[in-house]
Amino acid sequence: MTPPGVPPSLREWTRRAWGALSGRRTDHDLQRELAEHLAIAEDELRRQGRAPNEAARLARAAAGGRTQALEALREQRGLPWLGSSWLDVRLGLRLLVRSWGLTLVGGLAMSVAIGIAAVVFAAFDVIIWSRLPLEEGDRIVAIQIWDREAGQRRDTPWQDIERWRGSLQSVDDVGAFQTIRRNVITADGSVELVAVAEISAAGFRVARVPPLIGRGIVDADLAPGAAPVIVIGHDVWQRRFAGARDVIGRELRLGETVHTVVGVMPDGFQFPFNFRYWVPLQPGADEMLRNTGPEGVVFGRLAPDATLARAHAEVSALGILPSIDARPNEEATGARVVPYTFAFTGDFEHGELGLLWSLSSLALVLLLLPPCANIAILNYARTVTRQQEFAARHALGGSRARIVWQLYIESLVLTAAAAGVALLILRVVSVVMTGRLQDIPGGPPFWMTLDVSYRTLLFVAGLAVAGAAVSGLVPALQATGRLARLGAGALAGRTSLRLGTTWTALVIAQVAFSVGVLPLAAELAWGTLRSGVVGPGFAAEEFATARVALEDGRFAPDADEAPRQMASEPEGARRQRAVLFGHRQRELARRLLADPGILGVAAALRPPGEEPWVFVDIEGRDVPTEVLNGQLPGFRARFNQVDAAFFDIYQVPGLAGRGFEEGDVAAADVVIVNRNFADTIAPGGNALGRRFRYVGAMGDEWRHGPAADRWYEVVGVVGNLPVTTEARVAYHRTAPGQIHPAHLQLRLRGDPAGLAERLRDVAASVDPALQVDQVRTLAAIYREHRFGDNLGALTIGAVTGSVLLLSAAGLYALMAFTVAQRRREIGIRSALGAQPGQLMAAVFRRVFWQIGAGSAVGMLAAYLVGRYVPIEQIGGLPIPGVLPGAAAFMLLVGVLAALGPARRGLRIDPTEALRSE
Amino acid sequence: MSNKEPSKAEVLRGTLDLMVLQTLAALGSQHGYAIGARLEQVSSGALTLNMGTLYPGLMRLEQQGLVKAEWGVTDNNRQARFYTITAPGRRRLAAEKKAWDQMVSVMHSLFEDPA
Repeated sequence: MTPPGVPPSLREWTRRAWGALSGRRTDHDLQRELAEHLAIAEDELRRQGRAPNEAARLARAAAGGRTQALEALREQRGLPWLGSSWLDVRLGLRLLVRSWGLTLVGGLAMSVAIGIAAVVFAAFDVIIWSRLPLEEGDRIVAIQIWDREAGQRRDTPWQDIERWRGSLQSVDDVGAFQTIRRNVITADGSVELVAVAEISAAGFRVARVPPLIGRGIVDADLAPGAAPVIVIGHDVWQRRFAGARDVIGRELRLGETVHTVVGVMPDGFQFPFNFRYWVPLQPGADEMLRNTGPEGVVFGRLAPDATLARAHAEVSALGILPSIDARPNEEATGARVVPYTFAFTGDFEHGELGLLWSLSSLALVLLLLPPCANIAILNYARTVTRQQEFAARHALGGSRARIVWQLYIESLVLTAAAAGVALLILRVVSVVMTGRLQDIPGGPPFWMTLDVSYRTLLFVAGLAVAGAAVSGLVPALQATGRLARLGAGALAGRTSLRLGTTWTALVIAQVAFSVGVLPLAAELAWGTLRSGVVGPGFAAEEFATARVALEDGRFAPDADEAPRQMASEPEGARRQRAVLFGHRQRELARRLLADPGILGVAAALRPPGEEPWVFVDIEGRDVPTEVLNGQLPGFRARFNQVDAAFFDIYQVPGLAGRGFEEGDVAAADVVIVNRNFADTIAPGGNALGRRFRYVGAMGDEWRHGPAADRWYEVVGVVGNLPVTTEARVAYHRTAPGQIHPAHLQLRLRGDPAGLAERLRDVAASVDPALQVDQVRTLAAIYREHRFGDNLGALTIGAVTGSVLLLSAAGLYALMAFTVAQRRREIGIRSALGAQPGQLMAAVFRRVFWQIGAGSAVGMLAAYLVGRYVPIEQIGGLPIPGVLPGAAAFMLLVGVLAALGPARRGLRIDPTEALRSE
Repeated sequence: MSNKEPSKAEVLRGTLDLMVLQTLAALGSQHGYAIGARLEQVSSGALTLNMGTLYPGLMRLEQQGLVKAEWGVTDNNRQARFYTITAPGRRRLAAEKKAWDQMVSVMHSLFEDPA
């Protein structure tokens, strides 16, 4: 039946596992069966004429040992290792408490490593694996124009969309949406700026969600001249119409257009992104659809028998029409079909994201290696003290595999605890991130939730299991290998365990890392702390900024998007719009100044502290010394475009030269710089009359800024704005209408509460199409900036802290080990009259040597890092003498860690030390 | 002794299951002692099973679903756990019997005709 060597059936294993966990046949039941067996055998023998005593004896002899039989039954009943593993788990838990040092140090380092890995994995998980919570949501696809050479999506001409709609067999209901922003203006005059989906009727068919009341957008709504209609979301219906059943036919004003409500969508419906308002998409035949994620996507649903690959093949074969605007890589540009959620994940080749995810997962696993290696060595060192325990188990028949398993389970208990802490960290991060995502207008896309998925749980569990394998199995195999060779010797307490070169290298590397990173961490922490403690340097809550734009039919999520759009408009229309926007802006400023809560109004491209970064080449100055690896094209600086009132609002003093004059707008080659910039142009001298030019940008914002091919002359120097004390800033003169959208700068009197509503109301009173958003006090802007700094500082702090602890633990273990190994020598020398100081010097030598070597390497690394990465540029502040301080700190940590074992060494009784051998 | 025991147990494990199933198929529901006695009887005393071999074997068959067991009362009014072959047990028995017969036939031919 089951021949020798053939594994038992799955069913048997299942039953055995169940038997191990449930205890279905109790010991009592087993014993009862054996007892009855003996009784029946006795009966039988008596029946054959044996005397009772003899019958009992013969029955027992024939039946064999009852205890052994019971043991064999128990073993067959469950999974023997599973049962005893519970014991190992309990032992592991006891060890966690007993070796609390190892638990704390190893557990913390492990928690940090697994925590970071879990957070990154979860982020990928949300982005890549989120599924559309719609009926057959995985069959909804996006069609994009894709430039393979540049790896970028391109805008989609409407003729292509019409072709796809008309001819594709494998994709049904091809449609599109684009995002516009509108002021929702109610009868009482209150204004709210909202994102609205302009969407094809196909969108409602693709989503397959019936409206709660009324209807969705239908094809007739898209016809030219059709009455403007709108479909609203459940919460809009509740909030604006108090959930009235007769909402159909009522009016809702968006900007300059009054729409008739024709439908209400059910709660939670936000397709195609995060919308609560839907209006018909009525494209002009020669228009382009912005095809960049939230702003616009062409979508469809795979035909019933079609696959993604087939749809992609069909779309590729169909090809695309020549573009009205010449595309940069026309021959490398074509159409592609991707899963719908993929249309929002950025510019990737389909499949690249998966590869990126796999590589990142691998990198995250590698993150675990340093703490694992440390715990492994600490575990190994701990087996010294448990040598006798294992030798005894070995002698009693415990196999090597059994002892290795026990050590593995003990490690697993530690890594599982660390995984638990890591999940807590993940939970905290996801709560914080959820809170921040609410700040995104409309919130995150409707299919994304930051709940911890089963994939992330599996990943974390996998890390714990793998971590235990590295940190538990390796030392267990090593220690028990020696055990098997040592045999009874181990039982007698003799040990030949050694801490080898790996250990030495690891301790040195850790000390080096601590010394190398400590200064950086301290300076970053100080940079973050100081801006938190000192604040932005002035009454930032008295200033507010707001973005102002004119309704232009297209959503511009970033300030740099809209100008591009305007640039693509015909020149005449553009100038007309600039004039109109200028008028509106001036009128808005006039009305705002009438508000007693507003002391001053100015306009700028960006609020202070958020100016675009650029590189500049200064006439007559050599290559900047701060050039990073020789890669930067020039000095780092920022630029802004400001109107005449800007410096007055912020009370920035003029230091030299003049302020802006009326003629400066036209003669746009004059510029005012702040003191930092002036000091760079002419260190200690006069910057007036000197010239510079822009040579490059960080990011793509600069293309809307000053021209790159001309020299700008410095005509004035102003003080540093308190919020940009560290940056060089160049200011160009602008006038209302020249930049769109513009950021209003407001000086406030009193409480800024309700400012956003007030601004929107005033703006809508000037023009219903005048939109105001991103209303923030400067104080709020700095809090936002600090959030990233804080997160970075926290991560660096956690990593540095855990490495520091690991180093200390390593030095502690090293010292304890050395003392244990040299007990006999210390005992003899002590008996011969050696002074404690001499003895300890001998023992400490190795610790000092390792700290010294580590510190030297670390200081060299820190010096090199500091030379190439100016700390101010990554948000830190230099602290004088921090490097030797870090080395001294490490020495102190090392000495403190080594002190305990050293004192134990000094207390060794010579007679006892000699006897123990 | 210690060397001999495991090898016997291993050989037994291969054939014990078959013998037990055959016994239960032939005699119907039986308790452990009766099964052991029957095997001893048909082997003319050559095969004596102690409890440590017999009962784990029975438990294994039960875990595989080939036999089922329930407590009952013997003719002599003793409590005992009675084992009964199940339908999967009968199917397995038939299959193993066939394989066994084939093997015996092969071995027989081999021994009879050494050339």
